[in-house]
Amino acid sequence: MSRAAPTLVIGGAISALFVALALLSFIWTPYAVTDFDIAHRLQGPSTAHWLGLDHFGRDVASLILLGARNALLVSLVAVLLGAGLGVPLGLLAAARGGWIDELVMRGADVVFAFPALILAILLTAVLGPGALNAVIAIGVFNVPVFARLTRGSALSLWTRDYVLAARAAGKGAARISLEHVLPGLLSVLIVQATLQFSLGVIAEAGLSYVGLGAQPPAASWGKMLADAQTLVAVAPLQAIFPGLAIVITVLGLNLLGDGLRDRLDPRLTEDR
Amino acid sequence: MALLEIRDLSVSIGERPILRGLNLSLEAGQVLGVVGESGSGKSMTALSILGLLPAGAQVSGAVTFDGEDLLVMPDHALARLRGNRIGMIFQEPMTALNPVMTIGAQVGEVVRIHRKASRKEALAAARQALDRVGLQAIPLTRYPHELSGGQRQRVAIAMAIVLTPRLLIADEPTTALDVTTQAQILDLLRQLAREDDAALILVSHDLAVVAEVADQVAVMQDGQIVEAGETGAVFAALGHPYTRKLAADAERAPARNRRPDPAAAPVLEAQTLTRDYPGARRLLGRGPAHRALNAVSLTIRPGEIVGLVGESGSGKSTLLRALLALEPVQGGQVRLAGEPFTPRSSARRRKHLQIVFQDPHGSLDPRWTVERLVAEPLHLLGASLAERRAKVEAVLAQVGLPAEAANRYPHQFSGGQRQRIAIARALIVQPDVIALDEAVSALDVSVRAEVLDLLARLSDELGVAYLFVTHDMGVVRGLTDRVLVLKDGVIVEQGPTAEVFAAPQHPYTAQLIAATPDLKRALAQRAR
Repeated sequence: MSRAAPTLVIGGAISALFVALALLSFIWTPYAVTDFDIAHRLQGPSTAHWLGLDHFGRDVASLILLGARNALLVSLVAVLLGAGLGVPLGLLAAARGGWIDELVMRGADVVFAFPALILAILLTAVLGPGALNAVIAIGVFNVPVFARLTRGSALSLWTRDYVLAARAAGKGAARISLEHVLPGLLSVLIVQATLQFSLGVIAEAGLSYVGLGAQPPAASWGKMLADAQTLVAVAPLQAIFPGLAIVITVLGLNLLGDGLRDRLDPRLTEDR
Repeated sequence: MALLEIRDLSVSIGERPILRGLNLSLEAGQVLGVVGESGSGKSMTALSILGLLPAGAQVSGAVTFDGEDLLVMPDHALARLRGNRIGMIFQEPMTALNPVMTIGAQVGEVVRIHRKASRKEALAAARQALDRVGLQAIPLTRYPHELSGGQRQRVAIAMAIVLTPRLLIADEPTTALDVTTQAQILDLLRQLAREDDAALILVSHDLAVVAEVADQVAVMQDGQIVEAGETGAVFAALGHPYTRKLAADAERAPARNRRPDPAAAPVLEAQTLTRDYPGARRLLGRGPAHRALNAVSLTIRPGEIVGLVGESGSGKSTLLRALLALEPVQGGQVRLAGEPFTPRSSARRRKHLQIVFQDPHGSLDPRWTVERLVAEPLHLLGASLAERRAKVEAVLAQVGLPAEAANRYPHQFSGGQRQRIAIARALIVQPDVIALDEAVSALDVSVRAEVLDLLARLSDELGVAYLFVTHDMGVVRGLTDRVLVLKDGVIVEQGPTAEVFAAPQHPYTAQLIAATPDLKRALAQRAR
């Protein structure tokens, strides 16, 4: 094995930090977010409050931690939802072909035809704001991404001789899909999941920015940005911290995805 | 002075020596055959002449072409040489051509780069070159995908000869082609070299091909030339043990002790199989259907080895898929062990018929251990997990692999060993028939001889029948009891192998036999 590429190391480190902070928030935050220190609101960073206090006098560092938790949960569940539905659909379409394939792919086309974020906003507007509905709205758009990717890659695996050998050995399409095709797809799926994850973080921030994501008292980076917007002239740091959190997280996840893609490229691993 | 002179050429990549102290010289108008098995360094020799060695290769020695040392020549000077005074032809004509350029533009491009010719002059030169390689009827505006494999290789040759280079290097130029096409391409190369008084280096794994074409031959093993000299003399004397072994392996006819019983009930039978592929989709409906198999009948009796020969497009693969009931047929039926066998038959019936594919690399899932791979068909027997390991070890022993092999992955094995794994997978359910789809075509001659020996031994010991699907007449001649010749979806000739080879009835069979390179015949012609 060659040495890991810098993108993989940096991306992996940032992503690990993001996950660690999100997990940390379950057991510890510097302050409770229900602590309103109104007297010191909008105070800058200090030793007591590393990132300062927001306009309600809440500890910004704690909010960032909780925001990481929220971003992680929403995008993770959205990716799982997308992959959980999309991958089986893609495998089915590749294995069966014919009208099932047409149905799945045209269904994916229909979903793709809508601008994702706008429809997500529409969905949460209809279903009502909240983290769960944000998950559903984002997850729905992950389904066709995974279905298409799975079908395309699976189709090429279905032409392999070892799949033909498995058919000659009397294995059915379902078993071949699970035993030969899916393991062959894992690397592309992992890479795509990482990228969808980062898109999920952005989408979640966008939804909560317009007030359709996580609702108070739950914290969200998008919501923090929206709150800070009116105060930019007075307290610019209020916008910078959540903004940086989003940028760094998304950058880290994208670097991780690219690094994984280089490392797991099927053309490179096939001959190992 | 010789046109090309290689002195003490050594190449290594990292710690690994690729070529060790190579000496070669070649006069204008001569054909040099470089033979060897994979890893012998024959392709690297060709690439080192062109200065196309992989990055990081350490080179020592001298390669003198027309009085200039190519190894010290700067890159831009080498680039002027390539395609201009040295032409190169590769094995795979599809990947050597640019799929989005017309053949006229591709051949013309060489002229435009080296001669600063105008578009019109370039196309005129391209036309002339394509005429010379026998593509008079093909317009310059065709794209590679519109041509057959042989035509594509002719285009690649036209690109190599358009500037009448002094030296032509052809690396396995016919390995991807059918035998009849191979014979034509070899003739063409020899003729072009003679007309232009150019030297030709023909790199090949096939002794017979080299014996038919080359004046001089160099036999390579492990990066060294073990024997070199005038072709007739080298092959007549077979002085070096390695050359002798290669020649013997190429003509291997494994000994067999068991003869099939001609009166026994057939284990596999095809009755007037017809398979149509739907025509191309059109705006309304479809074009005419393509009939890939037309009333094909065959029988295989227990323990019999039947060869099925045919060139690409003859319907071999279609027939195989139909026999394996992987695809439906439009007419006729397949009977396996006395009962009809269709895609709807119970999967358990597949235990009677197993298959080994051509490419042992592609037919084994790279993520599976050998144990899991070999045991894949075992579910057909309903074997328990405890039995599994024992059965895998037994069958690995049968194909000559150690029991530890079970825990390893396919990439840890050589090509020949991988093919043994594939054979073990077919054997594990004790089938009556194993279909071998070009099962030895991708292997080196010595490895091929070993695998053929193994197959013959297994047939003797187990009484398993084989359907040997191949384009290689040599293998058919050495191993099979009966042979079927398939052309355009029809069996044009069948009979006992010895009889068919001695007196082919159908002109196509005669053509196939004549086109197959044959070491003895080539030497006999040379002697005359």
